[in-house]
Amino acid sequence: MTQPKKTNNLILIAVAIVSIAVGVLVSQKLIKTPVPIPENLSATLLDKAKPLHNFELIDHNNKPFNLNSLKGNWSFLFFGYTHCPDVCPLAMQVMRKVWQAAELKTAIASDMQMIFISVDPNRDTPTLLKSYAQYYNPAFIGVTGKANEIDNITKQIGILYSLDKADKNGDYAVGHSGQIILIDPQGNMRAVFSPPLNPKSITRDFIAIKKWLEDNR
Amino acid sequence: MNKTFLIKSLFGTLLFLAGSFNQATAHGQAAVTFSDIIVPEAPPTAVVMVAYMQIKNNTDQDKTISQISSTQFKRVEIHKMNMANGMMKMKKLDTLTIKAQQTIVLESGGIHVMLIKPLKPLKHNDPVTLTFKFASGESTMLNTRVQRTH
Ligand SMILES: [Cu+2]
Repeated sequence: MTQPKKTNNLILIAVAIVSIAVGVLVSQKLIKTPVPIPENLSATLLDKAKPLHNFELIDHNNKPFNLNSLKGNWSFLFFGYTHCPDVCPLAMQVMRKVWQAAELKTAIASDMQMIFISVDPNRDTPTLLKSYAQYYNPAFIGVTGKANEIDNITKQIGILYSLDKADKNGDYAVGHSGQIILIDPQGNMRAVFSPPLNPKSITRDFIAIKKWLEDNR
Repeated sequence: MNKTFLIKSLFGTLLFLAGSFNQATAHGQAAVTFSDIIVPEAPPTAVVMVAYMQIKNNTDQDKTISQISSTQFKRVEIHKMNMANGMMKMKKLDTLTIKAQQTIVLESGGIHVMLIKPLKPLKHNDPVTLTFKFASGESTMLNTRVQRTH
């Protein structure tokens, strides 16, 4: 009675081979190994993407600017005011340099947008914002809106600002956070670049974050 | 080239030099020297501009700037950026003291000379003149030009 035993063994071996093959296939298909988070970022990458909910602002052409306006592109947001002589122009110069660096690699600049959001809508009219944003780059977008909608987006993102009382000349300073915020093409907040803002490290970090998310898709 | 033009240019050059060799001391060295003066160009509709520089006090007494003025702006003020509650905010300083034999650096994120409401828009290469008045009574004229930073 040796014959049936031999068949049993063959069946066992066949089953083993098939199950290993299936296992390998399944693990490759389903348990895709995640690409690790890029290392040595100077940006703060959020542990979990933070989906933004809608807000209603206006751009420098008086057109609505809302959550949909952020979708389809990687958006860099900076919050400030045009009467700011020091911090805001510096941040805009940094955004300009990041844009230029990315423009050299057209595949990157084509899905980027640089947005300056004024938290001082009383003085920063769309016309003023247009000349301000486009001075740095013709593709840059100036945005502002009603105070409650500015609060809506700044609170979601964690940006702080405060308007001083006007002095006898009617002038006032505005305190504001100095971070640049990165929003992904699905409208999720992804990363925060904090001062001192360095265009080289922002560009490098952005490319790494973008690649990491695309590899994990 | 006519004579008047020559005299005018010479006069202009002398004025410019006077601005550079400010406040000569008895020993021939300026009491206070200004260097690395930068007035960055601002967007065309900007109502504020800024001046950065280094100010060196070559004397053994503290020097206090009590006022900065310019005929090209509605107002000139000295401002300092402060970080408070997670926000960057500028605050007006009434005076600015440079300690004896010390240098003070006016730079982005620190102290700046705030040039408020240019009477005429200023572009790259336009001349800017600032007058610094010291608490001790002297004053110094500083000549520079607007500079595009990109
Ligand atoms: Cu200021």
